[in-house]
Amino acid sequence: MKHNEDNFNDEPNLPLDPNGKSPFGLPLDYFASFEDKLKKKLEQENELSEFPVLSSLKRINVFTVPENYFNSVKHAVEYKTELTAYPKLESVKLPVYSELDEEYKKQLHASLNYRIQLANELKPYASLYLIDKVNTFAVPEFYFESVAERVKESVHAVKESKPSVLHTVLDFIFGKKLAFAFGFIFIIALSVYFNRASSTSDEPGDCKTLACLEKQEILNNKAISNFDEEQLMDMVDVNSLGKQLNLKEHKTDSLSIKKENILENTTTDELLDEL
Amino acid sequence: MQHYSDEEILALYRDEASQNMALDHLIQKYQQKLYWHIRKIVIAHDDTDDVLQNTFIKVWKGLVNFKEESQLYTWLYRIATNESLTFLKQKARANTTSLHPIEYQLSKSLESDTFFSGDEIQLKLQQAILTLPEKQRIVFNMRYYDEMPYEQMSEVLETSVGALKASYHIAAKKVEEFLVTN
Repeated sequence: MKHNEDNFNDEPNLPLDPNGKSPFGLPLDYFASFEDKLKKKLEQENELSEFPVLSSLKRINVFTVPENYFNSVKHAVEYKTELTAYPKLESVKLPVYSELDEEYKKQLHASLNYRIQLANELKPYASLYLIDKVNTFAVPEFYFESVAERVKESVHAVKESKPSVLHTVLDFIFGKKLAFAFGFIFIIALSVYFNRASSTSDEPGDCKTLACLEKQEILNNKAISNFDEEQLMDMVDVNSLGKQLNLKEHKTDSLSIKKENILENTTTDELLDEL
Repeated sequence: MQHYSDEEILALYRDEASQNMALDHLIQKYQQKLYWHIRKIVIAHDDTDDVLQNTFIKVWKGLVNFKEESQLYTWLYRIATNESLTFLKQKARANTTSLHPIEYQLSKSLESDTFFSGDEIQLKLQQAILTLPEKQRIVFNMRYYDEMPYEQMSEVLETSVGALKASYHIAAKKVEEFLVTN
């Protein structure tokens, strides 16, 4: 077997000391304490040998710490040390953010964003933006304590003044909906009545056509006297004229006289005479 | 008093035996929010008190027909807003002696109001707000003071979000101009 130093020499990548010594270092008194450590280890092994199951188990750390715990410990210690100079401040318990529930964190986030949005909205209006948003209105002392009682009194007063059964029935009969319905029916009945009345009244002078005008009225109108035969024919309501003539002269004659017959057998003069 | 949720209040109301309790909780929960909302519209404390009571009476009478399609508080705000506006209209109609609009009268009354604790700039701000048209004034107050999201305002005032945003910015511009020029 070769000497150790020879082995090192064979290894081309090891940066050997120019004096030929090993480049590896050792903890102080390593070899002095090595024996003790070894003895302890053997003792433990012997102890556990009585418990074969236990000795067969792998010895691992099953506990974990929060992420970055060891990094933060250093800062926490520094912070605590600083605080010792301020006893009052030290007594105040810091809020622990991780204890807040997720819902609150979300709400807080949304609320902050909303307030920023509100502030941004006002930014273009410099004067308004600078004014403190305060409630400048005041209320008398103990006002809100008395509101509930007064409102309840008013509500009960309204309840007590409820109408009697008779009033309720009358209200129903003359209520808005029924009144509207009665009114509607009344209007329809009236219109039907007047419509019938007007269709049965065949008295001369009210049918608003030339045929219904009195002869004197036509003769008095100078404009009509200048009309030629065709213009007069156009202005005459033939049906009304037929009815009028039948009513006046031949009440017993048939009502189905054709308009062509009337026009053919009637000259302008006759027509005016008849009217 | 512990504040009940809207659902709990409505559940109490549905049971006839606990209706009074429901009224108690409803008032306790909403009286301050509604009071300040109404106060910023009608300005005077006594008027606010009247409108607040009317609002609660109307709410109580209408609760039987309340459909839970909208949230209870938006419904309450809507009633309070309508009651306040109706009150202002009645007040304007009743006051036949003054030639000035109701907003001017409210602005003047602020100067002598014992329940107004603002300094000069706060008084100016309130006067500036009172120069705004009714709807813009409500939108401005709900956004600036109550910091209400536009979506909620939209439910209360039954106006689109876009229209409310535009209304708020126009109002803020007018207030700013008033503050700068006065």
